[in-house]
Amino acid sequence: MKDVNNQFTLLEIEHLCQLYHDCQLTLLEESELEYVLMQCNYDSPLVNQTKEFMAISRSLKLNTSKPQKNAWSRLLRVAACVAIVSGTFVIFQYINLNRDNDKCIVYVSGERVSSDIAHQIAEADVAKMQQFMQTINEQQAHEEAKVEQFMNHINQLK
Amino acid sequence: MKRLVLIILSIATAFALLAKPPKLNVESLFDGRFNSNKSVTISIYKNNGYFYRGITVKNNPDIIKKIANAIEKDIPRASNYSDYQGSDSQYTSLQIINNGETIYIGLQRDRYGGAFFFIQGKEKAFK
Repeated sequence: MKDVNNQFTLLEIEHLCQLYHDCQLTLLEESELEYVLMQCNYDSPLVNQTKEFMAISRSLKLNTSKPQKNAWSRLLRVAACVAIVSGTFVIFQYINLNRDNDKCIVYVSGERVSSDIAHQIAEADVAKMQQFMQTINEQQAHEEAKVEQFMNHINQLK
Repeated sequence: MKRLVLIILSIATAFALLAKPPKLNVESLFDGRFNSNKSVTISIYKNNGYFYRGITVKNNPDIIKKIANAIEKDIPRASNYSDYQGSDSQYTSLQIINNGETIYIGLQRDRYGGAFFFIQGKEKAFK
């Protein structure tokens, strides 16, 4: 800090600050001035104002669109990865469903049974289902016949 | 880079949507929750392009109620629905058309607290 104070007088620093405010410095020179101002302990309204201005422009630089762009593209990448992983998982499940063309899984009283017994139970279940469908069809036919009979009776009364 | 990511995202989403089978409420009953239950027999059977799933329940009104509730939620999707009280059992039947094929759903509840439930149809119907 001593070195900087010895290298630049207050007048020189203020001159540089004035050039900074007049936009006469290059970006490199601005950075160097910023460094010098951080190191020196001169206290003057112009120096303090320049320091404040530099702090504001630094914070503005931090809030530029670049980090937002990074965050957005990072979010997109994460979303793409999630979509790819979930899509692949669903596709694999779909393929798996199609591949197992002759699958038979049976659980009896909480225990999975062997393949032969499973086939027997499943086939018995399918037969039971066919019996169910037959009962429903017969019942529907019976109901339809009753409705038809009823309508005929009504028509006869007319 | 952003465009490439968006394209990949769109393709993956499209694939996911195409591959997702149309889940019926009754299908959720075969997610494994009853596999270890002592009062049920579960059958999952695929043969010659047909897909059958069935649950036989003995003395467990809670499970029968869950099955009946799941069926109830699928009724709006049914093209044919009937509920018939026979001399020995109550028969509930649903037919749902999907992918040009019919899915048959049935529940038979007997007077002794037992039930037989099934979903059956061509595999294409569940895609």
